[in-house]
Amino acid sequence: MEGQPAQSGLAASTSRRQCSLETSLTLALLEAADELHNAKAELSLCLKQGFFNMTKARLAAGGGAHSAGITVLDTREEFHAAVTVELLDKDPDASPARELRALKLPAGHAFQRAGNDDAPHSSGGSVNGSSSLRQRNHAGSDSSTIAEEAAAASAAGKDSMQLFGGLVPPALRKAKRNFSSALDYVFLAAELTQRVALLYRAVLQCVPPPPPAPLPPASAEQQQQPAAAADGEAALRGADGADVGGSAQQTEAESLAAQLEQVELSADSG
Amino acid sequence: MPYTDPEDPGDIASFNVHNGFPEALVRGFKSGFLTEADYNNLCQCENLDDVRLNLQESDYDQFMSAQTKVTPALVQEKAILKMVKEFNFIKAQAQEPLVTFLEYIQYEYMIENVMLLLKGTLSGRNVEELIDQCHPLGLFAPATMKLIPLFEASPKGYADLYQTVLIDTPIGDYFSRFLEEHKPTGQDAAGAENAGMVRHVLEEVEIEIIKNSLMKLYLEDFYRFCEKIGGDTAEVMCALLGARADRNAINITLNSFGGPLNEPHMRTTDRRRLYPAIGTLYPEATSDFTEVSDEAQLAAVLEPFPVFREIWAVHLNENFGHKSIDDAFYERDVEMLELAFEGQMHFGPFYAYVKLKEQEIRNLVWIGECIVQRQRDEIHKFVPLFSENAPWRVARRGGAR
Repeated sequence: MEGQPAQSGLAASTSRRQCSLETSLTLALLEAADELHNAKAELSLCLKQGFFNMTKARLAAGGGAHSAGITVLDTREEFHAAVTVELLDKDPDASPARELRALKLPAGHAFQRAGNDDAPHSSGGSVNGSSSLRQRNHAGSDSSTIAEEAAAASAAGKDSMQLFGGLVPPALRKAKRNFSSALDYVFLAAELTQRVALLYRAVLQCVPPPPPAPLPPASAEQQQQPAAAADGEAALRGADGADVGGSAQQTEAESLAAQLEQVELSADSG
Repeated sequence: MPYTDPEDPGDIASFNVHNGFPEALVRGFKSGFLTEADYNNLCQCENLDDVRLNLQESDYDQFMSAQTKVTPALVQEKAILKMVKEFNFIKAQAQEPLVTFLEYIQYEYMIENVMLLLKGTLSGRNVEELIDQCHPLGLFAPATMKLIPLFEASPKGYADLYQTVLIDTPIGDYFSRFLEEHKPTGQDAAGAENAGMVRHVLEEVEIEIIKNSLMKLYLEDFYRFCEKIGGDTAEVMCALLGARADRNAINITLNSFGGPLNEPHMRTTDRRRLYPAIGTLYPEATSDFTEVSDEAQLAAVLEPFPVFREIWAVHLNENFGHKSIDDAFYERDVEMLELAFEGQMHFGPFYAYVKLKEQEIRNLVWIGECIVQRQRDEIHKFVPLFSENAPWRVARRGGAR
């Protein structure tokens, strides 16, 4: 009897902590989802503008589709992308914490940009991007960290605009800027997708399991079994309904939240 | 009384003797341009099949009836074929000097085709694929067309290319003069080193520079031909070609920013050589262009010219969703070309017809691309032809532009 007030206090404290953790994780999840939605919208806009500027450049080049300039001859087989991205081969044993550590790279970003940027990065589709033509790294293995790999430059400092000659219309340069910005948004969206997935998993771990569905009326023998299960569950919950049995999940969720907070702090300091 | 000088197109009394029928033809084809109502209907289309259906109501008729899938590139291709058919019909009815005049119009497209074939060959493209992509108005003898992409990168191959391109194409003279300007120091242009010159040019000089150099030589040659014809033809055509040369000079300068041609040592050599020696900007402004390295300096050089000052103002406002510098140039060209139709007894309408048809095709491609890319806000930003609501007509009537 004397232990009851202490036990109820502990349970209340645990319950408040759990609610606070669940709320903060849910809020973080919703914020991340909103950021992801915005990043995808910006990406879509950049791509749309990029293709439209390419159309304008094609018409401005003169001679229409028969021009010896922009679209008639593509030499993709002679050049390689300046930027390549390889996906992480998911380790089935990886815990969310390990995945977070993999994301935690310098400057708080999951990717490192290589090459010479034309201008500092800024949002809203402004000037950005690598202007070098580089050879692609031959990554035969399927497993590597999610990272942007800068390949060795075969012709260092060569502008990709020179693919189209020395006199390219301004619209084509705008298209290049659009696609460079789109690339930034792709990486941002990938980071945010990872974050959303982790937060979602953390939120699920905080949420208590739903109560068992009521069984249909049956024979007396069958009615004895649900009663035994209900007793076991009550034992798990404790006197005031606190979920004592889910403490392991809660601990992991708290650990996850703490590490998420650490990632954010290092991002701010980076 | 029929005139006896084949280089004289005739005047008000004698022009129609030999050129009346072709002029009547070109004015008949002029009535086939799309109207404002046609453009309004096209802008309302939801997809390219609707565009095709609407075009069937116009002079384009069944030009794409056999196609199952419609794309903007296909619309462009079929529209160009229609225009070329009409052009060839006019040319078949023409006599000198109109025939030579019409051939001069074709030389521009021949230059495009030769550059396409050379560039494609250097990139290792398939011969048939290259010939399919050539502009139909610039085709010459099929044997010559096939020979150009087949040259080998050997001394004999370059010698054969020299012979094929220089001797067997009408633009050989321009190529010869270009090689003369770019021959390596100490080499005798008239000697036996022609293959070496061709090799040097193709391997060292960028294709864009070759193309713009040939275009410069072509414009100057066409200008001199029109001056020689004289009369209203000279007055109208020299103005049109001068405007074309001015536009080329400004575009070359603007497009070179950020590229190798904007380097200080390239501005006074390679870039300077691309500016035509005709037009309003020649020689003072084109000489100042050699010192221009950014847009601010270019604006300062264009400031004394009211027409180009206005066009540059359009370029400065481009980021606010307004039209681009190319649109401003197209509007100016359309104004001058439409006015070329207003007069008679000269060759201006023939040139104007081809260029206005090109603009119409550009408009169709623009509308098609806006529909495909779902850019509904931009779909009306084409240059209308023979429209009472065109900006320049409104301005002349006293309304605001």
